[in-house]
Amino acid sequence: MVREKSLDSFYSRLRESALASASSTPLLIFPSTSDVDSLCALKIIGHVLELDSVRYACYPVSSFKEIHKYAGPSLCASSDAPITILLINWGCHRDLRKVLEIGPSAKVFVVDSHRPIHLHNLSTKNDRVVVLYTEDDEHQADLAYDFDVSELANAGDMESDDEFEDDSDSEDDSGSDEEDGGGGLGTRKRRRLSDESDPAKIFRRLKKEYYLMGTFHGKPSGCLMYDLSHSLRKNTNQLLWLACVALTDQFVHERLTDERYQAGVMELEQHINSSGNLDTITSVTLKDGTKVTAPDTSRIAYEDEPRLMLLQEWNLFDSMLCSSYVATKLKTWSDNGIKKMQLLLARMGFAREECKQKFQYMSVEIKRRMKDMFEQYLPEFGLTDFYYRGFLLLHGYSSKVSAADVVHGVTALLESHVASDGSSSSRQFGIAYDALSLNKLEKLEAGMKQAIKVQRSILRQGSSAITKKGSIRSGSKFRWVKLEDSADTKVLCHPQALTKFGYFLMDALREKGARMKPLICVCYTQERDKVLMVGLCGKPRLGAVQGNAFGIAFRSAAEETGREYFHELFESSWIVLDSESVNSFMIRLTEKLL
Amino acid sequence: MYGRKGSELVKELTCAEPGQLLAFNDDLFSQVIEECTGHLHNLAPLIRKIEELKKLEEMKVQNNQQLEESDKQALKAHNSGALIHHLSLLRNKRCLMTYLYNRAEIIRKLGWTVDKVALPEEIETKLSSSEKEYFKNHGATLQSYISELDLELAVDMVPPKDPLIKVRVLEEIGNVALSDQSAHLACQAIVFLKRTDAEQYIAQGSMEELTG
Repeated sequence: MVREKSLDSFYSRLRESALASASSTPLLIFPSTSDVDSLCALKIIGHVLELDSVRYACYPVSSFKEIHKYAGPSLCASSDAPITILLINWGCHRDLRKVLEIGPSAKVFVVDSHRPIHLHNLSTKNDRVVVLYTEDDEHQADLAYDFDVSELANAGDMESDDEFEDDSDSEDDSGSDEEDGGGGLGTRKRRRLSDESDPAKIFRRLKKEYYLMGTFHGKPSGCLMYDLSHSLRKNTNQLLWLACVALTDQFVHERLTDERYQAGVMELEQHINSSGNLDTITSVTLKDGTKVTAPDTSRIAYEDEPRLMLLQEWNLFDSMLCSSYVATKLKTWSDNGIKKMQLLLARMGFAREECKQKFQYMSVEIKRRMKDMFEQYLPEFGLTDFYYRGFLLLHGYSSKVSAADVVHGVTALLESHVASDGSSSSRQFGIAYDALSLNKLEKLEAGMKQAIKVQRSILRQGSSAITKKGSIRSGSKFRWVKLEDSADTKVLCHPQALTKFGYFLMDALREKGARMKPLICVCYTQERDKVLMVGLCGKPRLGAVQGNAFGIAFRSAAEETGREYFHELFESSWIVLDSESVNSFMIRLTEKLL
Repeated sequence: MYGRKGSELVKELTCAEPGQLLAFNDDLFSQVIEECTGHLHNLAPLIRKIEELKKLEEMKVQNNQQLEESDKQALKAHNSGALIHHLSLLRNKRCLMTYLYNRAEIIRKLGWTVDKVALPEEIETKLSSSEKEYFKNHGATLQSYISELDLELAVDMVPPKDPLIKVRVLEEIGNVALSDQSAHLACQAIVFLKRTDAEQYIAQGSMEELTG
């Protein structure tokens, strides 16, 4: 039994297994260092485990093989001491048993929002890997399968089957070419009917369909873990806030559709109304018996939030200038755009000096009128969906911080390490871990300052890519852009930052009226000997046929170049290449995606 | 002014945070001792003179005579001089003792809290050589007492609320056998383990407790 559909039984199995191996080692937790969601999930599951007195040791990792550095020999076949491992937000899209060489005495539990899940991980024949994949999650996914995933997983043969990458390759060769090119859903369905006779063939075709759909994201791990803590009656206000941050992480990094975000927000709002904010003290009795209302120590609120980044740490003017939403709509990098923005501010009656004041100290009058004014005047400038439903954390009377800003800040902390080795990224993970605590706001502030730097670089590089002719190269299936400026590449040469840059470009291109195509961003590292490459397919839409299909193509193209490459990052559309092999890689990739 | 240096020495003690050590002030300490020897040097001739005058007085009394007026004055002056030197000497001695005693007390306390064998370097540099010796011997005594009782006496007197504790590892410690399981204590790992296992590392500064 390897796909676990219910949270409770997943947790009880995890706990049982952890306690069984507790005589020799603690439960080993490996959270991914690449996103905030994994941090949130780690904090929540950590809280639950602590209340259950399950001892654990947690090692942040940033790529697949790093786990061996910490887990020691008992993970592999040689030892027979039982060992229990929990992976947070990575791992399920590769065949874990094979990639990590998991021995028979080890048990690996996976909580991961990456999709698709490798079928071997889901198969009941593979008892070393347990994946949490709830039915709800399967049915509410952005991309729907028209077949039963569990059934498909169980039909596979664990031993003879190779990894899906090789597998799909061999099938490409074996001649189902007509499917490859424009094979939409319709033709596939028709083929399926005609093939019904041969189960092996059906299985092969379905499997191919399953993987070729490309990658996308399921329910945020943080939210899943919050549901777990809720069903175990171990939820607290702080955990609820972490779930809000986890959902917002997927929203900010455009990993889910608007519809699913709305659904997630509704769910969390219900939690906030019913169980949140209960444990806060609202009044204090002084020594002489008088009651004083105390500022709410910390309270979660949901509100319509403007699409302005990091407003609390910035000022209104710069935040409008640099935030991806406003910047791409108004083209604030051009003189015209700046004039437009100033006109907008003038129409709303906001003095320029006030707008350049740090937001905290901006006049209360403006803050109060801001929402009405924005809603009145923004549509004239084509900014129609400026407000979205978001979460806020209120601290007493003094501070309030929005979940989106937390995501920006913590992501910037995660991605501000200098060296590419593991030690520095795990140190950043530690700092980010602290920054998510409610009582260490100064670390979060440092992160937000870093996020501001990142956003400024995005605007700088994005606008120069848009305005300079020829910097965005266009193929028939995708565009690609290369970043070479050394000052900004230092900031942008991290997967999430580069992804944000890519989305900025895509938004800007859409505003220019260009046809939407997937985009590949290439960024040189500081030493210029390697490049980081990120493939983007646009914001997920409901009912889309395909997710991000770059993963498989990246790997096979990189293999064909024959040069060294690193495809062990936790998103299959992220890859690191030798900088000399970029051109030959691009040629091969173009051929593949034709 | 006599006794100022001694009081400076004591002031240094009170300036430090309670329970913390400042570097052993060798310079001032030996200056105070010098001052003491100075007092002694001054005191000895004075006492001698007083005794001479006293003898003279006794002789004169036996002959029903009185001391001459100048001798009387001299005796008074010598008496006061001797008294001042003597009191200053005593006071300096008290200051020196206070300084040593208070430091010794802190060092003894250290023996209970930090590792009994080796002091962290930043503390060790603050000790004088005899204090180091003292710490070592005290630690050894403590250790032999603990092993005789077969009971760990150095643990916190207040029982913890939770026997388990969440810590962050601050430097690479490597594979370690804890009380009942083995764990890889890598740098920056977050570990939830028995408080008793963590205490020694926290005291050494290679782990920090995570709260909130």
